[in-house]
Amino acid sequence: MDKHILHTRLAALALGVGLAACAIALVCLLFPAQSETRPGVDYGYVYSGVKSSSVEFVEAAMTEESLMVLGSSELSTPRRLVPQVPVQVFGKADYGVRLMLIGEAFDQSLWHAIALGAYQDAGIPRNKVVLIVTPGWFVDGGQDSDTFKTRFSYSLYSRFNANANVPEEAKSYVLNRLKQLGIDETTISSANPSLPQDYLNAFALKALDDLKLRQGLISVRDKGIELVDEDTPSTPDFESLRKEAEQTGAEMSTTNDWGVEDGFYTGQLEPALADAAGSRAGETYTNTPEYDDLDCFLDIADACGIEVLVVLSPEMGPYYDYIGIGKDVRSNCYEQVRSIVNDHNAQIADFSGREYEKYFLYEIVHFGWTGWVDVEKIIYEFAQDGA
Amino acid sequence: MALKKKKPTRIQVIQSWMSGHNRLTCATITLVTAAMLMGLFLFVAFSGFGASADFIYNQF
Repeated sequence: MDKHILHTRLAALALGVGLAACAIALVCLLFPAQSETRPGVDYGYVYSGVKSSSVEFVEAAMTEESLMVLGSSELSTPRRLVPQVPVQVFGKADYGVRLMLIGEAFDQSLWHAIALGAYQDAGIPRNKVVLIVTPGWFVDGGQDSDTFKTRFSYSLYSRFNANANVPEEAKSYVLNRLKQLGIDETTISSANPSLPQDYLNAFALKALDDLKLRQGLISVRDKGIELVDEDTPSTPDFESLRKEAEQTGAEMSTTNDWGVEDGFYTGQLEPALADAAGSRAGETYTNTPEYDDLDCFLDIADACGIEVLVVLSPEMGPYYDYIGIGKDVRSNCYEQVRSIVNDHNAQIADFSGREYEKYFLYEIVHFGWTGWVDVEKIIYEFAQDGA
Repeated sequence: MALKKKKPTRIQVIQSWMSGHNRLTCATITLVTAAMLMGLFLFVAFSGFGASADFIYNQF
């Protein structure tokens, strides 16, 4: 071969190596690894679906003082409306308990069961988790497929499947539920690989999901708060917090008798009230697989040796009476949840009796001023118990 | 009788084409090398190929 041709081809080869090296460096620089966290920053109170789906990030962000709290939309409660939210209480002082909030709107028992299995694989501090359960999860027909698909995380599911501590029955139950909810065969098979093509699909799906999470975590890293770390952790004064909460509730709810936050009441609730009367009269809170999903979550916790505190959130009594979901229907739902929890090695913080208490919720379903303080007190006691 | 010209093999055809189109050949070498290395990086990073063989020990 001509010497000139040989040299140009060797140069082309070197250029190829250089291009690949630059591309890899660029990917790593623009999209840092999921496990990258900034020192001295607390990410526990960041409300984010991306964060919740990244085991590597959460694992890196947790300390031995962390307590995992699994929930859904209530975790998004803005501090400007409810100054008693967890970040304002546990994030501003060192009480020896740092919450790691996991989940976002539409995450329900099935998602949490998958997340629990995935996170347990990485290690859960204290071997304890809190699960906030909302009656709204138990609507007839269960969660629809389109909504679930938006929250399904391949990374969590593959990690869940890889966890040898999760019982086979639970894995098989989750697999069937995923099929029912329309998760495609390719995704399911690649998380349970047996054929060569499953391994290839798993490789591609993992790479794509990793890049998606890396991209999403860029903005999550900017939302962390300064980590408060004292030599001697103090104890929160829940009594004075509650007094303040009652006062804040009274100040922020002046336009209605239900104790709903003024902005929400005048902007969203009041205009829709006329049409809402009796509109949900057919609801039974019984015809749903959600109870079995909750049972599956608790089965996994039992098998993995995780202590669970289920926080049972109430719905706003006067509003739900008004729209036709009667007290008997709601009580039946609460009772079923209590019964499932009691069948397992789990504790329950039952707030279902607070449906008519002003300021406990700030709108129709989410914890409000006094509600958050009472929930935080229970969570703190749960964290400290046996510590 | 005229001797029949021997038909070149496929490799000879490719070599001859590459010699006549050196720029295109070099560009292809660059792209294929870069793609293969990126593929290798992604495989090592995401296939779990380098992970511990827990699945073997789990059998015992």
